[in-house]
Amino acid sequence: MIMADDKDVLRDVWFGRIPACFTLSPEETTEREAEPYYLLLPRVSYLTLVTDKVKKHFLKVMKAEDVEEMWFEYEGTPLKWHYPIGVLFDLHASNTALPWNVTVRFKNFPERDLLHCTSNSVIEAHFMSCIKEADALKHKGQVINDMQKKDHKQLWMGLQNDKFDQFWAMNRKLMEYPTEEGGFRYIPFRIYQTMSDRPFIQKLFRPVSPEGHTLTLGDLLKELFPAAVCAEDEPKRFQVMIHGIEPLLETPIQWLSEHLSHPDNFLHISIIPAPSD
Amino acid sequence: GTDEGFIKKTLLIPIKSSISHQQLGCSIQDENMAADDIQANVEDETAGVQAVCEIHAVLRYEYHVLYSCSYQIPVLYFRASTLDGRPLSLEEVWSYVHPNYRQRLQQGPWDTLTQQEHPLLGQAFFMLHPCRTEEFMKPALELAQAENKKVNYIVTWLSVVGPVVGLDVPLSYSTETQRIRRGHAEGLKGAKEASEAFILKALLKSPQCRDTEDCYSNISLEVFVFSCVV
Repeated sequence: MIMADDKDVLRDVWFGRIPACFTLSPEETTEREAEPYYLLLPRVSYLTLVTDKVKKHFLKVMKAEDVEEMWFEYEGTPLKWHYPIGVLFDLHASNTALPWNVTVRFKNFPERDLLHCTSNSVIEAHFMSCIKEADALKHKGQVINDMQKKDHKQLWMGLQNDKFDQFWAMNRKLMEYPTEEGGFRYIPFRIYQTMSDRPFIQKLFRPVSPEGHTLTLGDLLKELFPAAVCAEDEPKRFQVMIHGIEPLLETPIQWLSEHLSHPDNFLHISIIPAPSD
Repeated sequence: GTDEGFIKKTLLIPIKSSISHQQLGCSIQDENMAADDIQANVEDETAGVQAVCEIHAVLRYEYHVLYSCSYQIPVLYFRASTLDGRPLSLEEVWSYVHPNYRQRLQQGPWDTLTQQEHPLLGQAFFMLHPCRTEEFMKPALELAQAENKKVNYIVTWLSVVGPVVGLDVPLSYSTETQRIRRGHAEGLKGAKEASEAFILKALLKSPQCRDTEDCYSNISLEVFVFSCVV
């Protein structure tokens, strides 16, 4: 059951915003100088879904022949549009001053590294495939498969149009589980870090131990990223960030999955080096 | 007689590190493969065959078989590029798939090819959607068992999904290993079959899907696809 306080958490997660400043790369060809464009980005959405205005703004100073598919980079690193915006920020820029300075590009698309995003239907397909994969982990896909096409559409439209109630009317079904189980079959999560070649860590992880103990974020990390869990007297080497905050390691992973997942139903965990000061 | 139009040849070379020669006519470097991985039964069936043809296009296909722990099935990732590194778009990749297979795809249950991030490399690949795997694996497995053939899940799966994306892996080769020494195309009919050879020991020795703990174990296959006019 979702408690009243917990519902506030759902809202806070949904309405989280990151102030960003978009600047056209000096490598792009313009007819006259381009002003930066400021925008509040929803943490839970995707760059290509919310930057139509950015594109329109910069197209005003560019010739059509100098414009190909728009893409973004931060300090030279291409930004993967298929990662939620909040994850990109936490991973790359969480300990820097706001606004988040993102560079806009229209040429030299990094074919090897970035997926193409030619229309909103590509974003929808990606979003829905994440939800399906999450449900495969949580319920063997039974809940998502029992939903009708229009229910799936409602999840997507809720995200696209920033409609919390519309989205959660459907999403709550994906957050249910048989009481006797104590939680989902497996927790859908991904751990990101910039220090490794591997884009993310994803493994099967049950929220309840075979002995029936409720497992925590700390338990998950001990198994998959032990360097992030250190003793009280040791200096912290890493920050474990979800939606820009560092949840207590004692938090049950089942609770985190139900309340701090992104709309794609995945718990996206960013592990970044702790600031040195 | 000769085939009109284009002949497609497929080579499968398992790699640990990248292949050093990517030009036609060069022999494939053997030292990249660990000796115990490949016990090749090398039959140079191309002996005595003259290869005379004009090469039109050489493409480099890279196939990765990964295991999805979310769906608990193997998933095929692939990408293609020209030899000078230009990546092929999905449309271009489709144009190189044999028309018969294109038809099969339209009828088949394996709906979509989409661009995806490779879970281990983080780079852009195409992925064959895994959702109907159970559905089409069942008859393929039953058939193999009915014929009393030893069944390797990965090989069977690959032989069903492979052709959809231009990768020919006939089931009949599953119990043998053959290796092509030369990377050039033969223009004559008999040699066509002979040159469709590949190494499966690498696949056969790979860990059984269901035992692996890791969400994505990676079996890489690098394939050269080229067309020539006879």
